Amino acid sequence: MSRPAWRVLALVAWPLLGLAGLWGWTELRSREGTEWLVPVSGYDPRDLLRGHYVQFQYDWPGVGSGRLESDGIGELCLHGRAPKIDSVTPAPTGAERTPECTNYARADDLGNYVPTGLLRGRVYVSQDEGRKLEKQLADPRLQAMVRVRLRPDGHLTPLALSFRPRPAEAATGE
Amino acid sequence: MAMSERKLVAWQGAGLIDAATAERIRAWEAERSHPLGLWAVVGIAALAIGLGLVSVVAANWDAVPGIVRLALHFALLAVAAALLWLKGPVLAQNRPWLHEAAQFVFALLGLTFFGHLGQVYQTSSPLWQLVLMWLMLFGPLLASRGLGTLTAATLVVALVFTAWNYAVWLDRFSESEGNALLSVHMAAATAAPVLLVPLGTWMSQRSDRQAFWRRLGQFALVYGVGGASLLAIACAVDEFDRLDGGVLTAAGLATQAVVGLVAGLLVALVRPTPAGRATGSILAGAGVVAILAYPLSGSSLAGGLLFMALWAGIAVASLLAGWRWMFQLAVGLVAVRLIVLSFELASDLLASGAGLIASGFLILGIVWLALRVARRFAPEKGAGS
Repeated sequence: MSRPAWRVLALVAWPLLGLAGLWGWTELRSREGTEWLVPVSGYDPRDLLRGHYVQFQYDWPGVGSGRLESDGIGELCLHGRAPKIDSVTPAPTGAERTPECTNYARADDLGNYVPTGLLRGRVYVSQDEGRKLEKQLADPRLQAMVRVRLRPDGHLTPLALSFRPRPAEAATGE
Repeated sequence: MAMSERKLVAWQGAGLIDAATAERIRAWEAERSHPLGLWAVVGIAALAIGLGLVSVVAANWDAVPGIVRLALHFALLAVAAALLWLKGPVLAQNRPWLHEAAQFVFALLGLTFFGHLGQVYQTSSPLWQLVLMWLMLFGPLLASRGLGTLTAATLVVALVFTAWNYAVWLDRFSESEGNALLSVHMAAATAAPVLLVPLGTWMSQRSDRQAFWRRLGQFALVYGVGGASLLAIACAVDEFDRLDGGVLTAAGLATQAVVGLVAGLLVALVRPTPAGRATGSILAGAGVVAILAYPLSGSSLAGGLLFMALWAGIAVASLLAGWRWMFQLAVGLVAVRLIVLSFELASDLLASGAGLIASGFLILGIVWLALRVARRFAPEKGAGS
Protein backbone atom coordinates (compact mmCIF):
# COMPACT_ATOMS: atom_id res chain seq x y z
CA MET A 1 0.00 0.00 0.00
CA SER A 2 1.29 3.44 -0.86
CA ARG A 3 1.88 6.14 1.71
CA PRO A 4 -1.19 8.26 0.81
CA ALA A 5 -3.38 5.14 1.09
CA TRP A 6 -2.07 4.54 4.62
CA ARG A 7 -2.79 8.15 5.45
CA VAL A 8 -6.40 7.93 4.26
CA LEU A 9 -6.86 4.67 6.18
CA ALA A 10 -5.59 6.29 9.37
CA LEU A 11 -7.85 9.30 8.85
CA VAL A 12 -11.05 7.26 8.39
CA ALA A 13 -10.15 4.65 11.01
CA TRP A 14 -9.46 7.21 13.76
CA PRO A 15 -13.12 8.29 14.15
CA LEU A 16 -14.23 4.64 14.10
CA LEU A 17 -11.76 3.77 16.86
CA GLY A 18 -12.84 6.81 18.87
CA LEU A 19 -16.53 6.02 18.60
CA ALA A 20 -15.93 2.36 19.44
CA GLY A 21 -13.93 3.44 22.48
CA LEU A 22 -16.65 5.82 23.57
CA TRP A 23 -19.24 3.08 23.16
CA GLY A 24 -17.18 0.63 25.24
CA TRP A 25 -16.57 3.23 27.93
CA THR A 26 -20.29 4.11 28.07
CA GLU A 27 -21.13 0.40 28.37
CA LEU A 28 -18.64 -0.03 31.24
CA ARG A 29 -19.88 3.07 33.06
CA SER A 30 -23.47 1.88 32.70
CA ARG A 31 -22.63 -1.22 34.75
CA GLU A 32 -21.19 0.67 37.73
CA GLY A 33 -23.18 1.26 40.88
CA THR A 34 -26.47 -0.06 42.18
CA GLU A 35 -30.02 0.13 40.92
CA TRP A 36 -32.80 1.70 42.97
CA LEU A 37 -36.51 2.17 42.50
CA VAL A 38 -37.77 5.69 43.09
CA PRO A 39 -41.43 6.71 43.10
CA VAL A 40 -42.15 9.44 40.56
CA SER A 41 -45.06 11.44 39.24
CA GLY A 42 -45.68 12.99 35.86
CA TYR A 43 -44.04 16.36 35.43
CA ASP A 44 -45.81 19.12 33.51
CA PRO A 45 -48.86 17.10 32.42
CA ARG A 46 -49.52 19.34 29.40
CA ASP A 47 -46.27 18.39 27.78
CA LEU A 48 -45.09 15.07 29.14
CA LEU A 49 -43.82 13.88 25.84
CA ARG A 50 -41.38 16.11 24.10
CA GLY A 51 -40.04 14.31 21.10
CA HIS A 52 -38.56 11.08 22.27
CA TYR A 53 -38.45 11.32 26.03
CA VAL A 54 -40.76 11.33 29.02
CA GLN A 55 -40.17 13.79 31.84
CA PHE A 56 -41.08 13.02 35.42
CA GLN A 57 -40.65 14.40 38.91
CA TYR A 58 -39.04 12.41 41.73
CA ASP A 59 -41.10 11.84 44.89
CA TRP A 60 -38.21 11.04 47.22
CA PRO A 61 -39.68 9.28 50.31
CA GLY A 62 -39.25 11.60 53.29
CA VAL A 63 -38.22 14.73 51.38
CA GLY A 64 -40.83 16.70 49.46
CA SER A 65 -39.88 17.98 46.06
CA GLY A 66 -41.05 21.42 47.23
CA ARG A 67 -38.34 21.42 49.88
CA LEU A 68 -35.66 20.32 47.41
CA GLU A 69 -36.58 23.23 45.20
CA SER A 70 -36.99 25.93 47.86
CA ASP A 71 -33.80 24.98 49.70
CA GLY A 72 -31.83 24.36 46.51
CA ILE A 73 -30.84 20.88 47.68
CA GLY A 74 -28.74 18.99 45.16
CA GLU A 75 -27.35 16.19 47.31
CA LEU A 76 -29.22 13.32 49.02
CA CYS A 77 -28.50 10.20 51.04
CA LEU A 78 -30.59 7.15 50.20
CA HIS A 79 -31.29 4.78 53.07
CA GLY A 80 -32.44 1.19 52.59
CA ARG A 81 -31.33 -1.88 50.72
CA ALA A 82 -31.11 -1.61 46.93
CA PRO A 83 -33.38 -1.50 45.08
CA LYS A 84 -35.83 -0.51 47.88
CA ILE A 85 -35.55 2.99 49.36
CA ASP A 86 -36.77 3.30 52.96
CA SER A 87 -36.10 7.00 53.39
CA VAL A 88 -34.07 9.84 52.02
CA THR A 89 -32.31 12.69 53.83
CA PRO A 90 -30.62 15.79 52.46
CA ALA A 91 -26.87 15.24 52.46
CA PRO A 92 -24.49 17.83 53.85
CA THR A 93 -22.35 19.29 51.06
CA GLY A 94 -19.38 17.11 50.27
CA ALA A 95 -20.84 14.16 52.19
CA GLU A 96 -19.70 11.87 49.42
CA ARG A 97 -18.83 8.38 50.69
CA THR A 98 -18.99 8.96 54.41
CA PRO A 99 -20.11 6.10 56.66
CA GLU A 100 -23.35 7.97 57.34
CA CYS A 101 -24.05 8.41 53.65
CA THR A 102 -23.19 5.18 51.88
CA ASN A 103 -25.64 5.80 49.06
CA TYR A 104 -24.86 9.33 48.06
CA ALA A 105 -26.76 10.93 45.17
CA ARG A 106 -25.94 14.28 43.61
CA ALA A 107 -27.67 16.40 41.03
CA ASP A 108 -25.76 16.41 37.73
CA ASP A 109 -26.24 20.18 37.62
CA LEU A 110 -24.95 20.76 41.14
CA GLY A 111 -23.59 24.28 41.42
CA ASN A 112 -26.55 25.71 39.59
CA TYR A 113 -28.62 28.23 41.54
CA VAL A 114 -31.44 25.68 41.86
CA PRO A 115 -30.09 22.24 40.95
CA THR A 116 -32.83 20.29 39.19
CA GLY A 117 -31.01 16.98 38.70
CA LEU A 118 -32.70 15.39 41.74
CA LEU A 119 -36.03 17.15 41.14
CA ARG A 120 -36.76 15.98 37.65
CA GLY A 121 -35.50 13.38 35.24
CA ARG A 122 -36.22 11.98 31.84
CA VAL A 123 -36.05 8.66 30.07
CA TYR A 124 -35.63 8.39 26.33
CA VAL A 125 -38.23 6.17 24.68
CA SER A 126 -39.78 5.70 21.28
CA GLN A 127 -42.80 7.79 20.38
CA ASP A 128 -45.28 4.88 20.71
CA GLU A 129 -43.85 3.88 24.06
CA GLY A 130 -43.95 7.52 25.12
CA ARG A 131 -47.67 7.80 24.44
CA LYS A 132 -48.34 4.69 26.53
CA LEU A 133 -46.20 5.93 29.41
CA GLU A 134 -47.90 9.32 29.29
CA LYS A 135 -51.31 7.69 29.77
CA GLN A 136 -50.06 5.53 32.63
CA LEU A 137 -48.39 8.47 34.37
CA ALA A 138 -51.70 10.33 34.33
CA ASP A 139 -53.62 7.33 35.77
CA PRO A 140 -54.32 7.96 39.50
CA ARG A 141 -54.67 4.23 40.20
CA LEU A 142 -51.08 3.62 39.20
CA GLN A 143 -47.91 4.50 41.10
CA ALA A 144 -45.04 5.18 38.72
CA MET A 145 -41.56 4.04 39.69
CA VAL A 146 -38.34 4.84 37.91
CA ARG A 147 -35.41 2.45 37.97
CA VAL A 148 -32.26 4.49 38.45
CA ARG A 149 -28.61 3.51 38.57
CA LEU A 150 -26.61 5.22 41.27
CA ARG A 151 -22.88 5.32 40.61
CA PRO A 152 -20.44 5.39 43.54
CA ASP A 153 -19.61 9.01 42.69
CA GLY A 154 -23.26 9.97 43.20
CA HIS A 155 -24.24 10.28 39.54
CA LEU A 156 -27.83 9.24 38.94
CA THR A 157 -28.99 7.75 35.63
CA PRO A 158 -32.73 7.13 35.15
CA LEU A 159 -33.14 3.89 33.17
CA ALA A 160 -36.79 2.94 32.77
CA LEU A 161 -40.29 3.60 34.09
CA SER A 162 -42.52 0.94 35.60
CA PHE A 163 -45.94 1.04 37.20
CA ARG A 164 -47.63 -0.69 40.10
CA PRO A 165 -51.20 -0.41 41.41
CA ARG A 166 -51.54 2.18 44.15
CA PRO A 167 -53.03 1.13 47.53
CA ALA A 168 -56.81 1.74 47.46
CA GLU A 169 -56.92 4.59 50.02
CA ALA A 170 -54.17 6.52 48.30
CA ALA A 171 -56.00 6.33 45.00
CA THR A 172 -59.25 7.77 46.44
CA GLY A 173 -57.32 10.45 48.24
CA GLU A 174 -56.07 11.96 44.96
CA MET B 1 -26.43 21.32 -23.53
CA ALA B 2 -29.44 22.55 -25.49
CA MET B 3 -28.87 26.12 -24.43
CA SER B 4 -25.16 26.21 -25.24
CA GLU B 5 -25.94 24.59 -28.64
CA ARG B 6 -28.47 27.35 -29.37
CA LYS B 7 -25.93 29.98 -28.33
CA LEU B 8 -23.23 28.39 -30.46
CA VAL B 9 -25.48 28.49 -33.53
CA ALA B 10 -26.39 32.11 -32.79
CA TRP B 11 -22.75 33.16 -32.30
CA GLN B 12 -21.68 31.34 -35.44
CA GLY B 13 -24.53 33.03 -37.34
CA ALA B 14 -23.47 36.45 -36.05
CA GLY B 15 -19.93 35.79 -37.22
CA LEU B 16 -18.48 35.89 -33.70
CA ILE B 17 -16.93 32.45 -33.98
CA ASP B 18 -16.14 30.27 -36.93
CA ALA B 19 -17.27 26.69 -37.54
CA ALA B 20 -14.00 25.19 -36.34
CA THR B 21 -14.14 27.06 -33.03
CA ALA B 22 -17.78 26.01 -32.56
CA GLU B 23 -16.79 22.40 -33.16
CA ARG B 24 -13.93 22.64 -30.67
CA ILE B 25 -16.28 24.12 -28.06
CA ARG B 26 -18.76 21.27 -28.69
CA ALA B 27 -16.05 18.67 -28.23
CA TRP B 28 -14.81 20.33 -25.05
CA GLU B 29 -18.31 20.55 -23.60
CA ALA B 30 -19.10 16.92 -24.49
CA GLU B 31 -15.94 15.75 -22.78
CA ARG B 32 -16.63 17.75 -19.67
CA SER B 33 -20.36 17.22 -19.35
CA HIS B 34 -21.57 15.37 -16.27
CA PRO B 35 -24.30 12.81 -16.84
CA LEU B 36 -26.36 14.81 -14.35
CA GLY B 37 -29.62 13.05 -15.20
CA LEU B 38 -28.12 9.63 -14.55
CA TRP B 39 -26.55 10.75 -11.31
CA ALA B 40 -29.86 12.24 -10.19
CA VAL B 41 -31.67 8.94 -10.80
CA VAL B 42 -28.96 6.98 -8.96
CA GLY B 43 -29.07 9.49 -6.13
CA ILE B 44 -32.84 9.27 -5.80
CA ALA B 45 -32.69 5.47 -5.75
CA ALA B 46 -29.97 5.52 -3.07
CA LEU B 47 -31.98 8.02 -1.05
CA ALA B 48 -35.11 5.83 -1.31
CA ILE B 49 -33.22 2.77 -0.11
CA GLY B 50 -31.65 4.73 2.74
CA LEU B 51 -34.96 6.24 3.86
CA GLY B 52 -36.59 2.82 3.60
CA LEU B 53 -33.94 1.28 5.86
CA VAL B 54 -34.29 4.12 8.35
CA SER B 55 -38.07 3.82 8.46
CA VAL B 56 -37.97 0.02 8.87
CA VAL B 57 -35.67 0.45 11.85
CA ALA B 58 -37.71 3.37 13.20
CA ALA B 59 -41.00 1.44 12.95
CA ASN B 60 -39.53 -1.41 15.00
CA TRP B 61 -37.53 0.80 17.35
CA ASP B 62 -38.79 -0.89 20.53
CA ALA B 63 -38.49 -4.38 19.09
CA VAL B 64 -34.81 -3.94 18.21
CA PRO B 65 -32.52 -4.01 21.26
CA GLY B 66 -30.37 -0.92 21.75
CA ILE B 67 -27.13 -2.84 21.28
CA VAL B 68 -28.30 -4.18 17.91
CA ARG B 69 -29.34 -0.69 16.76
CA LEU B 70 -25.97 0.73 17.77
CA ALA B 71 -24.21 -2.15 16.02
CA LEU B 72 -26.18 -1.40 12.83
CA HIS B 73 -25.29 2.27 13.08
CA PHE B 74 -21.64 1.39 13.62
CA ALA B 75 -21.68 -1.00 10.66
CA LEU B 76 -22.99 1.82 8.45
CA LEU B 77 -20.12 4.00 9.67
CA ALA B 78 -17.63 1.24 8.94
CA VAL B 79 -19.00 0.79 5.40
CA ALA B 80 -18.77 4.53 4.78
CA ALA B 81 -15.19 4.56 6.12
CA ALA B 82 -14.20 1.64 3.90
CA LEU B 83 -15.71 3.34 0.84
CA LEU B 84 -13.87 6.56 1.64
CA TRP B 85 -10.63 4.66 2.06
CA LEU B 86 -10.87 2.51 -1.08
CA LYS B 87 -12.69 4.86 -3.46
CA GLY B 88 -11.91 8.22 -1.88
CA PRO B 89 -8.65 9.11 -3.64
CA VAL B 90 -10.06 8.29 -7.11
CA LEU B 91 -13.33 10.04 -6.32
CA ALA B 92 -11.52 13.15 -5.06
CA GLN B 93 -9.73 13.38 -8.39
CA ASN B 94 -12.65 12.75 -10.73
CA ARG B 95 -15.75 13.86 -8.85
CA PRO B 96 -14.69 16.18 -6.04
CA TRP B 97 -18.27 17.16 -5.21
CA LEU B 98 -19.25 13.51 -4.68
CA HIS B 99 -16.21 13.10 -2.42
CA GLU B 100 -17.33 16.14 -0.43
CA ALA B 101 -20.82 14.68 -0.08
CA ALA B 102 -19.45 11.27 0.98
CA GLN B 103 -17.28 12.83 3.67
CA PHE B 104 -20.18 14.92 4.88
CA VAL B 105 -22.46 11.87 5.18
CA PHE B 106 -19.74 9.94 7.03
CA ALA B 107 -19.23 12.82 9.46
CA LEU B 108 -22.98 13.23 9.96
CA LEU B 109 -23.40 9.51 10.69
CA GLY B 110 -20.71 9.96 13.33
CA LEU B 111 -22.47 12.92 14.90
CA THR B 112 -25.79 11.05 15.15
CA PHE B 113 -23.95 8.13 16.77
CA PHE B 114 -23.36 10.32 19.83
CA GLY B 115 -27.10 10.98 20.13
CA HIS B 116 -27.86 7.32 19.59
CA LEU B 117 -25.46 6.30 22.38
CA GLY B 118 -27.13 8.77 24.72
CA GLN B 119 -30.54 7.38 23.90
CA VAL B 120 -29.61 3.73 24.40
CA TYR B 121 -27.67 4.28 27.63
CA GLN B 122 -29.88 7.11 28.92
CA THR B 123 -26.92 9.42 29.35
CA SER B 124 -26.74 13.12 28.66
CA SER B 125 -23.90 15.59 28.39
CA PRO B 126 -23.60 19.25 27.47
CA LEU B 127 -23.78 19.56 23.68
CA TRP B 128 -20.43 21.33 23.38
CA GLN B 129 -18.66 18.29 24.84
CA LEU B 130 -20.23 16.03 22.22
CA VAL B 131 -19.51 18.33 19.29
CA LEU B 132 -15.96 18.95 20.55
CA MET B 133 -15.35 15.21 20.76
CA TRP B 134 -16.84 14.83 17.28
CA LEU B 135 -14.51 17.56 16.03
CA MET B 136 -11.53 15.74 17.49
CA LEU B 137 -12.56 12.49 15.79
CA PHE B 138 -13.75 13.77 12.41
CA GLY B 139 -11.88 17.08 12.23
CA PRO B 140 -8.57 15.53 11.09
CA LEU B 141 -10.33 13.78 8.18
CA LEU B 142 -12.31 16.84 7.11
CA ALA B 143 -9.33 19.18 7.45
CA SER B 144 -6.87 16.97 5.58
CA ARG B 145 -9.22 15.56 2.93
CA GLY B 146 -11.78 18.34 2.51
CA LEU B 147 -11.90 19.83 -0.97
CA GLY B 148 -14.28 22.75 -0.85
CA THR B 149 -17.30 24.55 0.47
CA LEU B 150 -19.21 21.72 2.15
CA THR B 151 -16.42 20.37 4.36
CA ALA B 152 -15.13 23.86 5.15
CA ALA B 153 -18.61 25.03 6.16
CA THR B 154 -19.13 21.89 8.28
CA LEU B 155 -15.93 22.55 10.21
CA VAL B 156 -16.58 26.26 10.77
CA VAL B 157 -20.22 25.71 11.81
CA ALA B 158 -19.22 22.94 14.24
CA LEU B 159 -16.50 25.09 15.77
CA VAL B 160 -18.72 28.15 16.13
CA PHE B 161 -21.50 26.04 17.63
CA THR B 162 -19.09 24.47 20.13
CA ALA B 163 -17.72 27.87 21.12
CA TRP B 164 -21.14 29.40 21.77
CA ASN B 165 -22.63 26.36 23.47
CA TYR B 166 -19.55 26.28 25.73
CA ALA B 167 -19.88 30.00 26.53
CA VAL B 168 -23.58 29.66 27.39
CA TRP B 169 -22.83 26.60 29.48
CA LEU B 170 -20.09 28.49 31.36
CA ASP B 171 -22.48 31.35 32.04
CA ARG B 172 -25.24 29.06 33.31
CA PHE B 173 -23.08 27.02 35.66
CA SER B 174 -21.00 29.82 37.09
CA GLU B 175 -21.84 30.68 40.67
CA SER B 176 -20.64 34.27 40.67
CA GLU B 177 -22.33 36.87 38.52
CA GLY B 178 -20.60 39.78 36.85
CA ASN B 179 -17.23 38.03 37.10
CA ALA B 180 -14.64 39.65 34.79
CA LEU B 181 -12.65 36.43 34.46
CA LEU B 182 -15.75 34.56 33.34
CA SER B 183 -16.42 37.28 30.80
CA VAL B 184 -12.88 36.98 29.40
CA HIS B 185 -13.22 33.21 29.26
CA MET B 186 -16.52 33.39 27.35
CA ALA B 187 -15.27 36.09 25.00
CA ALA B 188 -12.07 34.19 24.21
CA ALA B 189 -14.07 31.05 23.39
CA THR B 190 -16.54 32.82 21.12
CA ALA B 191 -13.85 34.88 19.37
CA ALA B 192 -11.49 31.93 18.81
CA PRO B 193 -13.07 30.71 15.51
CA VAL B 194 -11.82 33.98 13.95
CA LEU B 195 -8.30 32.53 14.17
CA LEU B 196 -9.31 30.20 11.34
CA VAL B 197 -8.85 33.18 9.00
CA PRO B 198 -5.05 33.31 9.41
CA LEU B 199 -4.93 29.51 9.44
CA GLY B 200 -6.92 29.28 6.19
CA THR B 201 -4.84 32.02 4.59
CA TRP B 202 -1.57 30.38 5.59
CA MET B 203 -2.58 26.88 4.53
CA SER B 204 -4.08 27.99 1.22
CA GLN B 205 -0.59 29.01 0.13
CA ARG B 206 0.93 25.68 1.08
CA SER B 207 -1.73 23.07 0.48
CA ASP B 208 -2.74 21.61 -2.87
CA ARG B 209 -6.34 21.94 -1.66
CA GLN B 210 -6.40 25.70 -2.01
CA ALA B 211 -10.19 25.93 -2.49
CA PHE B 212 -10.86 24.26 0.86
CA TRP B 213 -8.53 26.44 2.92
CA ARG B 214 -9.69 29.61 1.23
CA ARG B 215 -13.31 28.75 1.92
CA LEU B 216 -12.46 27.96 5.55
CA GLY B 217 -10.84 31.36 5.95
CA GLN B 218 -13.72 33.11 4.19
CA PHE B 219 -16.38 31.50 6.39
CA ALA B 220 -14.43 32.42 9.50
CA LEU B 221 -14.09 35.99 8.20
CA VAL B 222 -17.86 36.14 7.66
CA TYR B 223 -18.28 34.98 11.28
CA GLY B 224 -15.94 37.69 12.56
CA VAL B 225 -17.39 40.54 10.49
CA GLY B 226 -20.95 39.35 11.18
CA GLY B 227 -20.22 39.31 14.91
CA ALA B 228 -18.75 42.82 14.84
CA SER B 229 -21.77 44.08 12.84
CA LEU B 230 -24.17 42.55 15.37
CA LEU B 231 -22.17 44.18 18.18
CA ALA B 232 -22.45 47.55 16.44
CA ILE B 233 -26.21 47.07 16.00
CA ALA B 234 -26.65 45.96 19.63
CA CYS B 235 -24.66 48.89 20.95
CA ALA B 236 -27.10 51.31 19.33
CA VAL B 237 -29.97 49.59 21.17
CA ASP B 238 -28.82 49.18 24.75
CA GLU B 239 -26.16 50.24 27.21
CA PHE B 240 -23.93 47.22 27.79
CA ASP B 241 -23.38 48.32 31.40
CA ARG B 242 -26.96 47.57 32.22
CA LEU B 243 -26.90 44.01 30.93
CA ASP B 244 -25.49 41.68 33.53
CA GLY B 245 -22.36 39.79 32.64
CA GLY B 246 -21.99 37.62 29.55
CA VAL B 247 -19.63 38.66 26.79
CA LEU B 248 -20.80 42.28 26.66
CA THR B 249 -18.58 43.64 29.43
CA ALA B 250 -15.48 45.84 29.11
CA ALA B 251 -13.24 42.84 29.83
CA GLY B 252 -15.10 40.56 27.42
CA LEU B 253 -15.13 43.02 24.54
CA ALA B 254 -11.46 43.89 25.13
CA THR B 255 -10.66 40.18 24.84
CA GLN B 256 -12.55 39.93 21.55
CA ALA B 257 -10.76 43.04 20.32
CA VAL B 258 -7.38 41.48 21.10
CA VAL B 259 -8.33 38.26 19.28
CA GLY B 260 -9.50 40.27 16.25
CA LEU B 261 -6.34 42.39 16.16
CA VAL B 262 -4.04 39.39 16.55
CA ALA B 263 -5.90 37.46 13.83
CA GLY B 264 -5.70 40.48 11.51
CA LEU B 265 -1.99 40.94 12.13
CA LEU B 266 -1.32 37.25 11.48
CA VAL B 267 -3.21 37.36 8.18
CA ALA B 268 -1.25 40.41 7.02
CA LEU B 269 2.01 38.69 8.04
CA VAL B 270 1.39 35.35 6.35
CA ARG B 271 0.04 36.91 3.17
CA PRO B 272 1.78 40.21 2.43
CA THR B 273 -0.27 41.01 -0.69
CA PRO B 274 -2.98 43.67 -1.15
CA ALA B 275 -5.67 41.01 -0.57
CA GLY B 276 -3.92 39.68 2.54
CA ARG B 277 -3.48 43.16 3.99
CA ALA B 278 -7.12 44.00 3.22
CA THR B 279 -8.35 40.85 4.99
CA GLY B 280 -6.07 41.61 7.93
CA SER B 281 -7.31 45.18 8.22
CA ILE B 282 -10.94 44.03 8.09
CA LEU B 283 -10.34 41.63 10.98
CA ALA B 284 -8.47 44.27 12.95
CA GLY B 285 -11.31 46.69 12.24
CA ALA B 286 -13.79 44.17 13.61
CA GLY B 287 -11.64 44.00 16.74
CA VAL B 288 -11.62 47.79 17.10
CA VAL B 289 -15.42 47.81 16.73
CA ALA B 290 -15.65 45.29 19.61
CA ILE B 291 -13.75 47.53 22.03
CA LEU B 292 -15.43 50.78 20.87
CA ALA B 293 -18.88 49.20 21.22
CA TYR B 294 -18.57 49.25 25.00
CA PRO B 295 -18.14 53.00 25.69
CA LEU B 296 -20.43 53.94 22.77
CA SER B 297 -23.27 51.60 23.73
CA GLY B 298 -26.62 53.17 24.49
CA SER B 299 -26.39 55.94 21.90
CA SER B 300 -28.20 55.28 18.63
CA LEU B 301 -26.12 57.91 16.80
CA ALA B 302 -22.78 56.46 17.98
CA GLY B 303 -23.96 52.90 17.29
CA GLY B 304 -25.04 53.80 13.78
CA LEU B 305 -21.77 55.60 13.08
CA LEU B 306 -19.80 52.63 14.43
CA PHE B 307 -21.61 50.25 12.08
CA MET B 308 -21.08 52.57 9.12
CA ALA B 309 -17.42 53.07 10.03
CA LEU B 310 -16.88 49.29 10.07
CA TRP B 311 -18.44 48.83 6.65
CA ALA B 312 -16.85 51.96 5.19
CA GLY B 313 -13.53 50.46 6.28
CA ILE B 314 -14.46 47.21 4.56
CA ALA B 315 -15.35 49.18 1.42
CA VAL B 316 -11.92 50.88 1.43
CA ALA B 317 -10.17 47.54 2.02
CA SER B 318 -12.14 46.00 -0.87
CA LEU B 319 -11.09 48.88 -3.11
CA LEU B 320 -7.44 48.25 -2.28
CA ALA B 321 -7.77 44.49 -2.74
CA GLY B 322 -9.94 44.79 -5.84
CA TRP B 323 -12.99 42.92 -4.54
CA ARG B 324 -15.94 44.15 -6.59
CA TRP B 325 -18.94 42.53 -4.98
CA MET B 326 -17.57 43.02 -1.46
CA PHE B 327 -17.20 46.74 -2.16
CA GLN B 328 -20.75 46.95 -3.48
CA LEU B 329 -22.11 45.00 -0.50
CA ALA B 330 -20.30 47.34 1.90
CA VAL B 331 -21.64 50.46 0.18
CA GLY B 332 -25.14 48.98 0.24
CA LEU B 333 -24.97 48.20 3.95
CA VAL B 334 -23.70 51.68 4.81
CA ALA B 335 -26.62 53.15 2.83
CA VAL B 336 -29.18 50.94 4.60
CA ARG B 337 -27.76 51.84 8.00
CA LEU B 338 -27.84 55.53 7.06
CA ILE B 339 -31.54 55.26 6.20
CA VAL B 340 -32.29 53.43 9.46
CA LEU B 341 -30.28 56.00 11.41
CA SER B 342 -32.18 58.90 9.89
CA PHE B 343 -35.43 57.41 11.15
CA GLU B 344 -33.92 56.71 14.57
CA LEU B 345 -32.77 60.31 14.92
CA ALA B 346 -35.94 61.94 13.58
CA SER B 347 -38.65 59.56 14.65
CA ASP B 348 -41.35 62.18 13.89
CA LEU B 349 -40.52 62.00 10.16
CA LEU B 350 -43.31 59.53 9.61
CA ALA B 351 -45.88 61.46 11.62
CA SER B 352 -46.66 64.24 9.12
CA GLY B 353 -47.21 64.46 5.38
CA ALA B 354 -44.24 66.79 4.88
CA GLY B 355 -42.06 64.47 6.96
CA LEU B 356 -43.10 61.49 4.83
CA ILE B 357 -42.24 63.37 1.64
CA ALA B 358 -38.90 64.44 3.10
CA SER B 359 -38.05 60.90 4.19
CA GLY B 360 -38.99 59.56 0.75
CA PHE B 361 -36.59 62.01 -0.91
CA LEU B 362 -33.95 61.20 1.66
CA ILE B 363 -34.16 57.46 0.91
CA LEU B 364 -34.10 58.13 -2.85
CA GLY B 365 -31.09 60.39 -2.42
CA ILE B 366 -29.15 57.89 -0.36
CA VAL B 367 -29.96 55.02 -2.74
CA TRP B 368 -28.97 57.15 -5.76
CA LEU B 369 -25.71 58.13 -4.14
CA ALA B 370 -24.94 54.56 -3.06
CA LEU B 371 -25.64 53.21 -6.56
CA ARG B 372 -23.40 55.85 -8.10
CA VAL B 373 -20.57 55.13 -5.68
CA ALA B 374 -20.96 51.37 -6.09
CA ARG B 375 -20.89 51.61 -9.92
CA ARG B 376 -18.33 54.32 -10.34
CA PHE B 377 -15.67 53.31 -7.88
CA ALA B 378 -16.11 49.55 -7.73
CA PRO B 379 -13.04 47.59 -8.83
CA GLU B 380 -13.30 45.83 -12.17
CA LYS B 381 -14.65 42.29 -12.22
CA GLY B 382 -11.88 39.78 -11.62
CA ALA B 383 -9.46 42.50 -10.57
CA GLY B 384 -8.95 41.08 -7.10
CA SER B 385 -7.77 37.75 -5.83
